[in-house]
Amino acid sequence: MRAHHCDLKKLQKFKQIVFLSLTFPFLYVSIPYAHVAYDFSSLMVDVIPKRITDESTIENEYRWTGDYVSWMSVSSEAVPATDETASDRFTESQAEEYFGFEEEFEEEFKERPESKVFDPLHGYNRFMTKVNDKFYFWLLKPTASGYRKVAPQSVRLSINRFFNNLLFPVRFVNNVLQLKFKGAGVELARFGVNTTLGVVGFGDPATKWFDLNAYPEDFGQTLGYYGIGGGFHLVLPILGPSNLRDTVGLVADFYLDPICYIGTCYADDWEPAIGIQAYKGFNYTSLHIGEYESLKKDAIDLYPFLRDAYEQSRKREIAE
Amino acid sequence: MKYVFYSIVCLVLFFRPVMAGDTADVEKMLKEKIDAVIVVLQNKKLDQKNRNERIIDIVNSVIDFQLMARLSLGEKYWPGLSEEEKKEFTDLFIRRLQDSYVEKLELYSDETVVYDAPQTAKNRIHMQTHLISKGNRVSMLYKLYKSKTEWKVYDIEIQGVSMVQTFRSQFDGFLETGTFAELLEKLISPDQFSVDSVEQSKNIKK
Repeated sequence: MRAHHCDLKKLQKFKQIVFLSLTFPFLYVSIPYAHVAYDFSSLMVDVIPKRITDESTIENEYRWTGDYVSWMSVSSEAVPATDETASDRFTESQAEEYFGFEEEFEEEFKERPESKVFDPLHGYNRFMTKVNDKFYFWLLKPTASGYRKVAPQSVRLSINRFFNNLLFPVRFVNNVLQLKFKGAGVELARFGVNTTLGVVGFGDPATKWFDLNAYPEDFGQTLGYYGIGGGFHLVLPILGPSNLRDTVGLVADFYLDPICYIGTCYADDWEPAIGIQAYKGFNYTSLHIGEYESLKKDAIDLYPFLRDAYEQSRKREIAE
Repeated sequence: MKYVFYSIVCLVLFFRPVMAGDTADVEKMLKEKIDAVIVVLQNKKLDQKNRNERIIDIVNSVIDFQLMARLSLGEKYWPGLSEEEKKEFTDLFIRRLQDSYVEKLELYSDETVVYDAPQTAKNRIHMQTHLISKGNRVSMLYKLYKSKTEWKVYDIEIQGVSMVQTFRSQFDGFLETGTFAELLEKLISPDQFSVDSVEQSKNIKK
């Protein structure tokens, strides 16, 4: 009785081992083929419906899948002939499928009428793009390169961070105006941390230690958020591509920038504020030499290229 | 019975990634490639030509440059071209695209690359990456489609500016007045502004 029981157990164990040794290799072998089977089945799904729409194919289909007798009655020459047409059709349908697939991309990239940039000032804009280009290559780049040689990068980065920290009111107010309270909260925290621990913003411990990234928003984006379109494209002297809405935004942001109050621009004393802004831009440029050049290389015609790139990136910033 | 159950569990475990794991696959694949690219970029021993070649070797299997070239011209112009024209255009334009891509990576990825989890958009997968350099954060979005066998990139957006879209509207504008031969001419002659400024900035930064 005991022995019998033991045998039964052994048998069970044996069965289990056999089962496992059979299933596991199967699993491992089948995994790589699963892709093949999947791809193949999806291929077939594409091919089959197209065959059926073709009249002659229905005939073939019938001949193959229909009753045995009718298939048998087809003469021996007819069989290779059907094979040939089938393969022809296969490439055809592949091409068709391919075309359909391109269509989808066309849909994605086709220029929508509303995305056409309204550009009544293109004559002036083109001219100003050239002026800015020359300004950059003849004046800004050489001087900024010189400045870069004199001032260490760490210093210029700190100055850049300091000015960025000063822009806190712009980002905060525009986050609030767009009801982005998370962004506003993060900005507030960033300002608190960077002004204290970061020594009036020269450092950026908020990003480094607390992983708080800036939420840049400006007034142009706020206007866009409430559905105001860009208006006509406008290339500003020195500042570069913009449009009507964003130019209005720039003016508003200029007044929110504390630099404006250092320079007492509210009392019509513009020079100090503009001077500081110019230095800020200059310092920024020294950190970004090479970017405009690289961008420019993608251009076949510089002005429309910069215009479209600007409008595209603004659209995305507003949508975010 | 127990083992039947276990084997079903095994089946489920093994087969689930094949069906639902496309985004995970894409994420892994892109991460691998881009990390490899960054390693090459930071290898200062290589000269620029060698470096670019290596980078292109790495990304060639994930980025469908051929398709990007075709899409940049679009259905308005592409089908009307002869085979030679198509080939010439593709060759020239792909080189340009590749140079542009590598240069952007080089410019903006001084420090690291941060990856967001990929998002599915209809039958596409979008993967956002952030190139981090000192005091700067530039977003680079890879858009992938499923080709016959694998996921491939068909467009890259840098700070929200789509490469394909930008080239397309430029080609559109150019071909309204210019001829195709002139466009090829434009693609052959590299711009008068060489990479020297970028190189210079690199040397000083390091």
